[in-house]
Amino acid sequence: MTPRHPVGRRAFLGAGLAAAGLAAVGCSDDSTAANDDDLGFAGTVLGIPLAKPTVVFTDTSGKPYDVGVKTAGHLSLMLFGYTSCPDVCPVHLSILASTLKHMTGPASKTTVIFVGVDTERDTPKAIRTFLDNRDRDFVGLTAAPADIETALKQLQLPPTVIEPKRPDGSYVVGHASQILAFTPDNLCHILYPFGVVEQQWSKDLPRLETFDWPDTRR
Amino acid sequence: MRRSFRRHLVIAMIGGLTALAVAGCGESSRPIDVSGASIPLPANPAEASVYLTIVNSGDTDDRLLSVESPSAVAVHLHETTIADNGFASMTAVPTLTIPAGMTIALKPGGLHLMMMTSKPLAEGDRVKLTLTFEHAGALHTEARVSSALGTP
Repeated sequence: MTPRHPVGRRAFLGAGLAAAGLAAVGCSDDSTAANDDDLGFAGTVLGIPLAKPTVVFTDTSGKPYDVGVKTAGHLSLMLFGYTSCPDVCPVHLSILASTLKHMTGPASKTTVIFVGVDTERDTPKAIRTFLDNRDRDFVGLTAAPADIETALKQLQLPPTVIEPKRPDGSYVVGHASQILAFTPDNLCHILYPFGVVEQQWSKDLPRLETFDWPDTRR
Repeated sequence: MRRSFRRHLVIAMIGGLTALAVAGCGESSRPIDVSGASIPLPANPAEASVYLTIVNSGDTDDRLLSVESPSAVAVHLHETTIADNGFASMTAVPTLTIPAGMTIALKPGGLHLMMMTSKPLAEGDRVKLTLTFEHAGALHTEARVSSALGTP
């Protein structure tokens, strides 16, 4: 496993706490977990922030979608998944949909971008249906498999693994499960692990809108 | 008045005993209990995930062998694992042991039943499920489809 981020000890500790939080979150409303260091966010703060991927995706209406251009200067959340994912992806999207629905103010306009990594089944139509069952404003993207992997690499996320087909034709896909938060400075300073709950998102999103990141202060 | 009350009480008790006796022949006396079955409103119309809790209050281990539903063409037991680098993968769990005295929760990000649905599920639908255990036999439960789920 290659190290993804030159993160400090604190961020590593944060990831550990996040993982511990995940275990607790699943069975109750306990949402005290997953705190990173003293910045107080529920995600893992990166030692070096990530730039937006340069790959030009295609959105569910078939138009080119350049993440850098489309989300310039505003808060956006990006995640990779697949439409046949029964557990992680729909849960992530449910939580984000519910959070934004219950939110007021600028953070309620956060763009949520889902990239379908299982290009055989994740057609623009399948992605649109999948997202519409959560929130019609969610952006769905696709690209050639190699381009998706390039984007994952640029974001220092683990590559996609398409498992062999079962006798019934179904198959599962291993994929990066983090949610990347791109703040108005067009950088991702923070990754959210699976298991972050609505209460935590509701607290973090308005802060992410205005947060002055120490390492980008001029 | 008092007698009448007593008679009612006796009737109520008999009723209770009858209920107990009926239950005794049914599932509630078995050491395996399945509860809290829920289905988050599916995002993909062809499938659904089911979360529930299995309690083994008996003295012997039991194994969940299969799950069937009239609403599904197939039901698979899966486990999601998330590595330290965030890589989420799923593995099929052919049989699940419920150790004596233990509770196993199927929950987001862990064990779950993946149903390949025969038709798309809608909010409020009730889905019948039959869980077959090695010792406890077939247990029936019902899961409700709700958009409020999956948002802990």
